[in-house]
Amino acid sequence: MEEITLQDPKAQEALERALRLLIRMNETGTLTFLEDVTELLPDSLSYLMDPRLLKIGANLAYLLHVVELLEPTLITVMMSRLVEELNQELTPERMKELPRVGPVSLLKAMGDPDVQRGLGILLLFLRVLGRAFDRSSQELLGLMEQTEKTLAELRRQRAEMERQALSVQAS
Amino acid sequence: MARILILGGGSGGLVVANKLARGLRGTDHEILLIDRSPYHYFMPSFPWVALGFKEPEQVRRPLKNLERKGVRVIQGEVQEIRIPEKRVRVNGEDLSYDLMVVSLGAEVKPDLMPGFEMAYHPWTIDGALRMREAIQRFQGGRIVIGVSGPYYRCPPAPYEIAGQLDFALRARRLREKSEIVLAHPHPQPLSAMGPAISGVISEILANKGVRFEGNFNAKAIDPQRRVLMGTDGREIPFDLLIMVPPHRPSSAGMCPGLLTPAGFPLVDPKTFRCMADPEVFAIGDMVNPAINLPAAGVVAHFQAEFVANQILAELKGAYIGESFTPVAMCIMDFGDDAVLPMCDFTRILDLAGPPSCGVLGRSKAIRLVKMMFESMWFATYLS
Repeated sequence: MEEITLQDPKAQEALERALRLLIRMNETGTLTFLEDVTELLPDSLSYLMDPRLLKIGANLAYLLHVVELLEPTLITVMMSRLVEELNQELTPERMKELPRVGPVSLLKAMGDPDVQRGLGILLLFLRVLGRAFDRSSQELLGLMEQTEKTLAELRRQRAEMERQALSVQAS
Repeated sequence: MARILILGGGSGGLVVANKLARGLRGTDHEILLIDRSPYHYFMPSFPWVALGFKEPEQVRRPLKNLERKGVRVIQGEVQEIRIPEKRVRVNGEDLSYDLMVVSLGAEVKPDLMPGFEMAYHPWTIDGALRMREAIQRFQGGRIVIGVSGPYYRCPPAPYEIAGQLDFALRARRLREKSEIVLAHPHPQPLSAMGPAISGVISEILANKGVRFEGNFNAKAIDPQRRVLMGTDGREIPFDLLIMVPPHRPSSAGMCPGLLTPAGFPLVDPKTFRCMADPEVFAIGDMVNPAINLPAAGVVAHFQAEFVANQILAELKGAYIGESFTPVAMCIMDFGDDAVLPMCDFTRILDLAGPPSCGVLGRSKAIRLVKMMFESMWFATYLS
């Protein structure tokens, strides 16, 4: 890197600009505010480490991760067709007179191949939902059982330590 | 005028010294910090030193920098802590105190594992440099990363090392000629932190082709046969062994009779005041496993803030500083991937339930956060 001296006009220009900025910051109080902020910096981490904020962060991060797992091509094609179909069906005219479905018209609608496909998707989703909840509840029950065993052992150890401390303090 | 002794210039001692120096500015109270090293080391970067990404000078700063803030720094060995007499023996001399914070950390004790001379580790700066040389010599084969016991500094570090080694070997076109095995006492990677974190770490290790050997409690290393031996009879042969060395709390002969059988000082888990004397605080890796907190710098940091608050309240009569936040965060850098896990230990501290853990982010950009944190750490506490 080339050597810079104070005689260098480029250095003088940069310094002059920096000084003007500092004077302006001083006059407006920005410099005083920055001084106070630097005092706050070492404390900021512990205030941000609030367990509630961290849990919100972790849950949001997981939801974003789920979004990340979705394939953009699939989602774009599916969503754009869905929006197109919704726009075609949910016209202002249709909204004025919403179709009412009773038992007879429900049975009739079941003959519609589009409704049949929709029902198929719903049933598929219900099957996946049931299976996932069954697996997760089994996993959580196992974890709870393991946690209880660990906690019982830790409680026993802590009671022992407290007993030891009391006997030393007494002697 | 009170004299406050701070034993240890690691994360805990450094934060206490800074907080007290700021809070007691303009008073005649005396703050003394004692450490055997002239430097404070940023230990989370030790694996980066071993993997050649950082040099030792980049991950340390002189503790003497604290003197500009009004903290007297003594370089010396803490030989004995005599709590009943309120004295500490340092470099053969007795130092008295009114209040004391003991944050001596955990010491590595390689000699406690038979055959450890065959192993490398980045748990000290010298160890990290030796490990770097061993990696430079490595030309392919099986690398085993082992753990000598459940108590060691920074529980996620072995997983990071496995990921970073995979990345480094790929860059050297040695990965196809190599195998990486991680043998750990836990049944699943970081399973103590719950399924959310364990799942992500397992996925990363699987993507990197790292074989996880769970429930493996290492017993010894056989240097002749080059195998790591487990207590259950399992044996894992290696060409290069990276091993978390045995750790012990650095209690420095502290108050005989007031230590747990494993050597941890007995403290009140709500205040970190010693059972032996409430004017002595003990924080960090030398106490945390005994109160079900992890041996991690971040926990020592938050304990230090809370302890400094209690000392300032005592000396000034009133002071509203920080409460204790029983959370831990750690940036796990796997080379080409990184994870930011967090755990809230509130329930486990009260023995009321497991820690609540989740993942705050996963992206290789998170490595940048670790680098920025290191820079902020030095600038804030040791500039």
